[in-house]
Amino acid sequence: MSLGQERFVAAIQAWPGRVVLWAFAALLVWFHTEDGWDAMMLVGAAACFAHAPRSRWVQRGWLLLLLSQSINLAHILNGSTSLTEPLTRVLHDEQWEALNPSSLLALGHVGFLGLAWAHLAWARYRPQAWVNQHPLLTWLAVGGLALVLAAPGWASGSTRVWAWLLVLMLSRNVWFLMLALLDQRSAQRSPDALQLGTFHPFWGGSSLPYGKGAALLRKVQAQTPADLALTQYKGLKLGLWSLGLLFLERGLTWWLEDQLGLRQVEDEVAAFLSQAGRPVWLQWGSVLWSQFDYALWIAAWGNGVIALGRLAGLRLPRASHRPLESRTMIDYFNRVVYYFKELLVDVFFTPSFFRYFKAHPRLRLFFATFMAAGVGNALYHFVRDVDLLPEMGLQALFVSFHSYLWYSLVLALAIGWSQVRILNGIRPPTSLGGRLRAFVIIWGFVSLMRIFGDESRSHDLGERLQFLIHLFGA
Amino acid sequence: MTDDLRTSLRERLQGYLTNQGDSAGFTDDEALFTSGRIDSFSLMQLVLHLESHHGVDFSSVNFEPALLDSVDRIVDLVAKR
Repeated sequence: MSLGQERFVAAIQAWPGRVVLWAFAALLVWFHTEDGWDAMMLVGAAACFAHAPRSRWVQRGWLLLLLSQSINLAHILNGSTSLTEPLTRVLHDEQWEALNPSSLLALGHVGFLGLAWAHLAWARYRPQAWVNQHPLLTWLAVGGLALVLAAPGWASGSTRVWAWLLVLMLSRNVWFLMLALLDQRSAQRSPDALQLGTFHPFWGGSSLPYGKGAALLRKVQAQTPADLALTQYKGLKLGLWSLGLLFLERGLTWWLEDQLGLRQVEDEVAAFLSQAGRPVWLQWGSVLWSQFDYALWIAAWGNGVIALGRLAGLRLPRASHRPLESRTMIDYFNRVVYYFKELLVDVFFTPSFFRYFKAHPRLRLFFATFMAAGVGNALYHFVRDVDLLPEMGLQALFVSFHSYLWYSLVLALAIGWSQVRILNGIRPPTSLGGRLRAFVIIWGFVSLMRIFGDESRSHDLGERLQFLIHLFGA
Repeated sequence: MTDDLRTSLRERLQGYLTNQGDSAGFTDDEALFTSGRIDSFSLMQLVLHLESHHGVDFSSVNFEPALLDSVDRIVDLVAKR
């Protein structure tokens, strides 16, 4: 560290420095959330977690549980989660409008935490039970049954409402639960309160666990005041970086979309299909911009989340790190969506890797990669967007997903092939020319794949293929 | 033999760290995987390397990342194969 950095780290260990640090943190979070009260609440929780004495109660995770779940319940009760609207729709269908959807969601959230806790306890008591050996399949089966019961025309009244509530809670929490269940197999498993405190932790995120699970959090928590100050310094730097990226994204959106006429790829496909002819260079520009915009936005947002975690004293790895330097397909995912890739590796890749094709290294690596990048990727996005059910119905929910399924399949094949090449001794390029070629190939490929993976569900696979062929002049 | 293994492991682990933009050094007893310094996918690459080059059979142990967390632990594991 330079002398200036050392002085800064020393300054934020004293009370005046801390006050300035947290005021600045509140400003950073406010820029991201654009909600003053929410920013105060999140930063208040982070400050409380960072500076609370490390008592046994805190070490066992009770403070994290209290802070995270209080904030979750506050978000649910004030209707700021994406779950309120789909639940309101089903309550309306079933003429249960007298019931407050936010209260029901809060009840569902607490109930799901109870269910998760029971499953964690059972996984310890009977680790060899089929359900505990295959927790994802179990919960997918439960969720699938609940999804059918919640679909319009399959069940009615209270059965449909409770089934839908379970689907929404699973959609929101299932990946947190999977990481917690994986931790139960460890010789040094984390306490239950800490596990449940990581379900939508106070530093933010989505249905994807940013910061992974309790196993990592125990290892990365600052243990001394100097360690805390250094972690907070890194958090502040990352927060400023994420803010810079956020402003860059907004500036480029204004310039490229509002001034030059580029569009997001789903809008470009829609315009192409409606015969509203546009020059092909503009269409290419939109495809490349959509991918770059996505990478920029996810880096700004994800690193903002991790910055708050670091300010709370957790030395978490960055959410996105120098994506333009990617040299292979897996490197691209590691750099752009670090925590998503970690989830897929932990839940899909590792079990497949240890279970199948042990005698065939190439096939083993390819299959495990396919299970993560193909099956896991598709499943994650299907589960995440399952709240579209009341709007679309069961059949359309599945049918409209086929484009993303295609995207996952092609992506998995590409990443799997890239992995096998490395196993065959073809090393990632190190020369300037080689790195430039890798950049063009990787970013060109993922930009074109964005045509199929834009997640809008607006167009079918055939229509998107037409647009792709048109881009190449056919 | 152990020194050679230790050296080659250190080079491999340093490569994983460098790829993640982490240029800081590490000690032989430092936790690298459970601390999040090296990602899960690199852990699987290490597993593949240990199986194919050092004859470690992970089916005989209940695998968890902590088993390969540091240079010292990996050397112990290879020695016990």
